Parts: sequence; structure tokens; C-alpha cells
Amino acid sequence: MRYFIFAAVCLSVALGAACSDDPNPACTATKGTLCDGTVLNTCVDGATTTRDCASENMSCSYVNAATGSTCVADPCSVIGPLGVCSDNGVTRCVAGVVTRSECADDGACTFVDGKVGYDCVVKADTIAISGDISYEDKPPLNDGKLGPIRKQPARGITVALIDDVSKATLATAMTSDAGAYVLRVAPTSAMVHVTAVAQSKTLLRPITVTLPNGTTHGFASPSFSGAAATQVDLTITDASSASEAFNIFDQSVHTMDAIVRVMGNPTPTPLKAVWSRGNGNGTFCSGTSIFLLGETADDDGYDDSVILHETGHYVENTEGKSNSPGGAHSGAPADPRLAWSEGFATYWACSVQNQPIYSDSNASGGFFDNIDTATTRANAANGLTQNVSENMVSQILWDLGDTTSKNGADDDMLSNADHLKVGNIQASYLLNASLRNVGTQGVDLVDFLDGWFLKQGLSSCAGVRDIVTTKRLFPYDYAGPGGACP
Amino acid sequence: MLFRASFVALSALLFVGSCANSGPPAVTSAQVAAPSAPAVATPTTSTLEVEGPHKPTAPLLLNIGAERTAPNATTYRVLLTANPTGELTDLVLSLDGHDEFIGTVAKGAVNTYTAIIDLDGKPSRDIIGTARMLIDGRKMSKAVSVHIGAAAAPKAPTPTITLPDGTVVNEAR
Repeated sequence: MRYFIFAAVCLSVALGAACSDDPNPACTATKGTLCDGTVLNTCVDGATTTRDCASENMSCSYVNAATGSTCVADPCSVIGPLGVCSDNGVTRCVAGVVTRSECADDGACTFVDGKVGYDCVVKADTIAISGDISYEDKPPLNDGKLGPIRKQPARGITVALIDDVSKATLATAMTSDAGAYVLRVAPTSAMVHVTAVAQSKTLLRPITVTLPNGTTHGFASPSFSGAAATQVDLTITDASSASEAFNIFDQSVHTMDAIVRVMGNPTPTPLKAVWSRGNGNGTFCSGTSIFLLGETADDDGYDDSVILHETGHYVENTEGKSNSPGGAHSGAPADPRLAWSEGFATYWACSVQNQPIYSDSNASGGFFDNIDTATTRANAANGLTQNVSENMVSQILWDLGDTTSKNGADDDMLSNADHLKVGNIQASYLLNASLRNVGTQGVDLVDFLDGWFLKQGLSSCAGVRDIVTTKRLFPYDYAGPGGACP
Repeated sequence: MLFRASFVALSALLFVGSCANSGPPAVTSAQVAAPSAPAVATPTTSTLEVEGPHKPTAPLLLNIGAERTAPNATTYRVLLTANPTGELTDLVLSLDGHDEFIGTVAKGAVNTYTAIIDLDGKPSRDIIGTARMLIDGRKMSKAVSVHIGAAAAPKAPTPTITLPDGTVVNEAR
């Protein structure tokens, strides 16, 4: 029966795969590719070639309509937490393992809700509107400037099918992490369109990107008839002034996934990001909201590390603790509480991307910092309450968490830690700790180091001393609640 | 662009006080909207302060303003004003891509840079003013812009839809 279905689907123009008299499943699948466990079957002129992804230390997974199935190093990075439909089956990634379920003869893969994701349901008389959604991104270069436009999948966003005339929502779904979606609806004679929405109300990734007036950013497809199954691929263009909103959403996904991974919190607090082209109301964080410039002279919509820096403050506010007095700052020595908060936010931006460049573009080209290679020092003659640079803080945190530098080997004496251990001090210590009465009152670098030794033990004393005191001259006393370093 | 074409020949006329230090600005943002200037010149500034932690920013207040040199003229006098909030090293001010090296300046020492800039036959232009500097040996920069010439045509309102959960969505295309 399953083969009968494949044979029927062979007639579909949309699939575009070669068919033979003795249908081969791969030949009727999207792009002529189909996974069988870890083996990728590819249809070539009606015959199947195989590729063992496992032998290349990869998994086989469906990606999206543009790619079909292929070998991928990290299947979860293309499937996402909600699964994905392909060839009337559901592909999921659970704990790094790809599973696939074929839908029954009377079933069809469709989006259920933000908890279940995609699953097989009784299809009745429905059609599928499906496709891939991407956005135009300008990736930050390593010199402060932005690179040329490239396409990125719009992962984890909401997708809606809208009746052109009544504006009624006929169906909603969410994209996989490769931007794939399926909307399943009863056929209609009405003209309809697909709208991509920079919003997710899922527990794992609760994110909304709005304009300053409160409306949520979206991008609509051209109209088409809702009478038959249709593939609608969508590219959210830079020219539409909406693509940056989807980049902000994508960076926020990085932060949400990191909260789950680093803090162990599977239900992050909803994050609201506010941006629009022309917006001159500053780039800052307030509570659980971040605000980003969209000016002609300084537009932060593509500045990934600036976006992630502000989400770093959101992380402090929701998962940890901050006593920063706020206000303007440049990296010059400042109140230790401000230096800690800003240094952590920059560190968060870099650790989430697993690269040490903080980059902020503007109309003059912008500027950047490499928090792995730069060395900013305190004054060894001053005490623990001295004003310090936020750059020193972010450099210390990076050196604690990194294991390799540009040349492949770590450039500090602590190579057995990781960024999970560094970031986690926010939730595991700073959030609820009774802070030691040294340093400045309120959370600062001293309190972080106290938490580090309490959670990681004293075996890291030599490495931390190298990073904090030998290289950067910060006079930490190494006598916190975790014990005294030898 | 008149600025580039005329810089050498007209520099004495077109550039006023390019290194003016600590004096009051000759033109302020507030003057841009004077009734004598029928075409708009909309400045952006970096002086807005809002509660909450901001992104790392170069320590200076940077303002840009513009006014027509004469009624119906196609040239504008554009003024960039830099007011350091900390000591700056190797400060360079730039208007429309033309640099003026200032050097080391102390906190509060206001510098201005003025240029006469033409519309270059266009109905309007966005003029970028920037400040580049070293802070503790690190490069930083800040940029502002001013719109000269005809006001940008108002954009047609973007249609919206309302999702079942009440979310109002802007439908860009």
C-alpha cells in the first residue's frame, strides 16, 4: 500500500523526482533522497545509490524542500524541537537521535501545536501548503563591517495561511530549524497567502520581535489559489525592511537554546525584541525586553553580537542577577557592578556563537573586539573595589570557558573547563547566593569568582590565577566560600 | 557631489572651523527645523538616554545638524559636533566620507566640523557624520545621520492581520 501511494505521488509535478515502473521509495521522495536509518538513498535515473552517513560520523536526516534528505553532522540543528514533515512522515530529533514515523494511509503529517509540533493526524479532505522560508542576512565580518547578503533558514518562526479577502487565519504552523513548514487545510476557492511571523510561543523558544508600535514583524507571500496543494517558498528580503527582524529572532533562538543548555531551564521567560528600520531609540535591555537601533547611521538588526549582548542582559535578569547601575559605557574602567554586567553580556554574546569576536557595525564601518586575544588589565595596587573595565571581565570569562584559541591550542592555563560551567554560575550561584562582603556591594567579578570556586572546586586555582591575576592584574583574594586557594 | 568636487578649490569657503575646539556650536540640531529652511533636514543624535544597560558605545555625544545655505539652494551647511564624555585619543571626525583628524581631546572639549554639502542633483540625501577614536588602545566609532533635501515620501501603511491569539502582524512584502 505504501508503494501504491508512492506510485501515485510520482505523478506529482511538485516532487520532480524520476519514477520507474517499479517505484523506488527514494525516487518518489523529495529531491529523490530518502533516509533509511543512517543510510542515505539517492535516486539516480530510477536506480538507488547509497551513502552510509554513520561511516562519516554523521546522521541521515530530512532537511527541507530545497535540499531533501542528506547526511548531517547535527540532525537536531536542522530538524529543531518540533520535528518536520516529509513525504508523509514525521522526522524528529530526540537527544541527538533521528527518528522517523510514516503516517498511516488515512493520515498526513501536519502541525499540531507548539507542544507536540509536527505529527501524523487523520487528513480527511485536506491539502498541504508547504515550503521553505529563509531570510536575507548580512553576516558580521571580523572587522566591524557586515558581509554581503546570504540566505539563512528562518527557523522556529510562526507561519500562517491567510485568506486574502477576509484576512481570516486558515491554519498556522511553525518552521523546522531548516525553515521547512507544512500547513494543512481544507481546499478553498479563495485566494490566499502565506505570512511568516517573527514570533514563537513555544515553551522552549518564547520570542516575539515587534515594531516600536507593538505590532509583530511579518512578511507575506504573493497570493495564490487555495484550491490545491502548493509549494510556497518564501525569502524575506532586506528590501522589505523585515529581514533584520527575522535575524533578531534567529539570534534570540541562539540565546533560548543556550538557556536550556547552560542554565538547565527548559522553559525560558518570554523575550520581546523591539526593532524597526529608522528606529533611533537606542540599543539597550529593560527587564525581559531588548530594544535595538535601526537608524541609517547605526542599525543593529544584523549585528549578531550586539543583539546577543542585549539578550545577555535579559539572561542576567531572568536566570541570574545583576546590580548594574546601567547607563553609558565604553570599556573604560567603570563601577565594578556595571563592568561585571556588561562584561558578562559581551561574553554571553561570544560564547553563544562559540567565537570571541564582538562586532558592532555602523555607517563608518563599525568596530570590534577579540576577547580571546586582547588583554585589559586592572591596577594591581588597588583593591577589590576598584573600577574595572568590562573588557577585562569578558576576557576573563572567555579564557575560563575556552579550550582552544586561534592557533588550535589554548592560550591560557585553564583548558579543562567550558562555557557551560562559566555561564551556569549565573543560575547556580549568583541568583540566590548570599554574597561575600568584599568587593563592591552587589554582583561583580569578585562574586562570580567566589561562585566559580564554590561550584568548580579548587583544582582550577592555578589556571584561574593565571587568567585573572597574572595576566590581568586583578587582585582577587582567592579566599571565597569555596575555600582558600593554595 | 559638490563636496568632493569642490573641496580643494573652495575649502576656504565651504569648511568652517573644521577643528573648532570647545566653542559653542554654530548650528545646533534645534536650528535645523527653522522656518527659513523649507526642505527638511532630520537629524539623528546619540544623546538619548534610556533606562537599562546599553550596548558598549564610544564615550562621546555626537550630534549632526544641517541648514540650507540660502532659500532654494541645493547646498546645506552640515555641522557635526563631538562632545567627549571621557578622554579620546586619535579622534577623527568625518562628514560625508571626508575626514578631519582632531587628535587627543579631553572630556568636555567640544569639537565641531562643518561642511557645505550639495544634493548632487538628487531630491534628498542622508549625510553620515562619524567619529572614530582610540579608547585604551582599542578602536571605537560612532555615527549619526541627517536627511537633507525633500522629505522622504510617507510610506503607505503596511497591511496587518490578526492571528487567532490576538497577535497583530505587520505584513511586509
